[in-house]
Amino acid sequence: MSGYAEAILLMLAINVVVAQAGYLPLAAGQLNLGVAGFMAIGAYVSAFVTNTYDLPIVLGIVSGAFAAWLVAVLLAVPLLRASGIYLALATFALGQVIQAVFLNLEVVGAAAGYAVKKHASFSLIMTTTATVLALVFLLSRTRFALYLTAVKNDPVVSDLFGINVRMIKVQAFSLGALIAGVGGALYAHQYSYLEPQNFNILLSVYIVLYVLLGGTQTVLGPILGAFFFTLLPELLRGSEQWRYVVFALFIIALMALRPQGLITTELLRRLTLRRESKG
Amino acid sequence: MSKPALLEFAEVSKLFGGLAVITQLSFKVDAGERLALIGPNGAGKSTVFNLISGVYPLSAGRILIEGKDITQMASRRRIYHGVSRSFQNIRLMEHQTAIENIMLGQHPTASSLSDLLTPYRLQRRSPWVEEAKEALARAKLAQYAERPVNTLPYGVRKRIDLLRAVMARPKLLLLDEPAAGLNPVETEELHEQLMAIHDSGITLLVVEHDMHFVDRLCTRVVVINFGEKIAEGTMDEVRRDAKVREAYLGAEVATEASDAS
Ligand SMILES: Nc1ncnc2c1ncn2[C@@H]1O[C@H](COP(=O)(O)OP(=O)(O)O)[C@@H](O)[C@H]1O
Ligand SMILES: [Mg+2]
Repeated sequence: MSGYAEAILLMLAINVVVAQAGYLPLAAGQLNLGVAGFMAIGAYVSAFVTNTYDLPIVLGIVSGAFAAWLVAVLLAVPLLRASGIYLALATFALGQVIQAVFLNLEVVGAAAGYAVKKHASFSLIMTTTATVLALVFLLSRTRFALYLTAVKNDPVVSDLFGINVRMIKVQAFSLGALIAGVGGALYAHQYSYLEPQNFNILLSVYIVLYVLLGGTQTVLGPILGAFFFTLLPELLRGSEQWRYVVFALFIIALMALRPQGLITTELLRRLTLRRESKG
Repeated sequence: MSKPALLEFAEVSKLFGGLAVITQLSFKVDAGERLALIGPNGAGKSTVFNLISGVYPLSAGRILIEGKDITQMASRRRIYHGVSRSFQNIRLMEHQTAIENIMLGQHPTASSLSDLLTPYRLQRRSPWVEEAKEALARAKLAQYAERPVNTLPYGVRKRIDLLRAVMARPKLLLLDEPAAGLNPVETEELHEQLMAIHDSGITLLVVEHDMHFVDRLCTRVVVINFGEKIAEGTMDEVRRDAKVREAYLGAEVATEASDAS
């Protein structure tokens, strides 16, 4: 495989992982604009523990994911008092705060950046990505996934049917953070150098766009959204000046034509029905 | 001592920002009853349901289930004490299928951590899905099982909302205008469905405007107006009641007028 193709595939893998980090909260109706912050936690923690304690990368990823999850659980209760646009603003602020913390944290190089000694192999990144996707897919086949939809749809009714709405919201938020932590750790061990600016608001916005464009109703949606966002700018490389214009027009057209996102449950249902009726 | 009532509403009052919507209202529902709660529009019937299910706190009074005071109990816990309900304005997950909507009603009987995390959609025959399908089949709605509910006709959605409440296997089922918007055939099917639900051991408390429907379904009627109880008894008894006639006079004249047109 050419170096270029491999680089694209790795970027794709990491984006697919972080798209799931944006998807889980959105499935419960939470617009998390702080995903990049949780990625930063995963990245820096994994880099730090593997650098300092010579831990294998896998343990670094686990530590990074756990740290991001823990921060999310601790902040979930105050954060999730807000919902809708206020939650989006609160998570946006959180992302900025996390970035500011790393900008000032000397042990990980502060503004100068932080070199990551251990480099992840292609197969490790692919295996981790596959594992995350498999787990999210399994989760999407459970009652938990049904309750994410229920809580997003009507928290009052969910509550009256005995669902612990707060618990479901906290889980959606913190599981999203956990996956962001994995994505951040993969990023750290792939690009080998971390700077707080890597984890800015634009990254969070992109992640949310992956999910919204791909569709929030299925696990497949965000994956496709991530593919689209990673590959399209590459495909448009030919016309350097125009690529972002074309890209932006594409997004606007998609939003206008398919406000539910590319992939919807209805679309999947129709495709499977057609296959069944043919077979 | 005799067995306590299944539901006791004891001198309950509810104010919304100073406006009294329910005033010193008391009534009981005995186990096995089919009780109707009727009254003109805005009388406070849906509010009574919201107070029982805990959507709003009371301003005064107490609510008891089988003698146990649930006034302060979190709304979420009440379904585990045998109270479930349908909604006057259908409140379903619009993009999900009938089966998925009904499965929400199974939560009180499937709320362990392993229930939460079982990938049932990968099982060939999930007991939950089978149970939901059977419930739909019994209600003659089998053909809608896999359809997203936003594509279904109003009457079907209404009865999916009802089935979801039944799935929780409540002792007391609160139905807020179950027949509203149904055509005569659907209304007849609803009647049979509710009698079957009652036969399975579920007590019914029904808010309904269709008096013919109430007359056939219910054994006893409580009438409220402006949040106060004005009569209680069999349908025949309350029909003869002067206060009830007065409360309904405007409405009845209106119905007759619209019937004539
Ligand atoms: N959440 C609320 N806030 C303020 N007023 C309310 C609220 N819910 C109901 N009401 C008022 O209480 C009265 C009774 O409403 P409701 O219980 O829905 O009547 P019914 O179901 O008998 O038609 C109405 O005047 C209504 O406007
Ligand atoms: Mg009402």
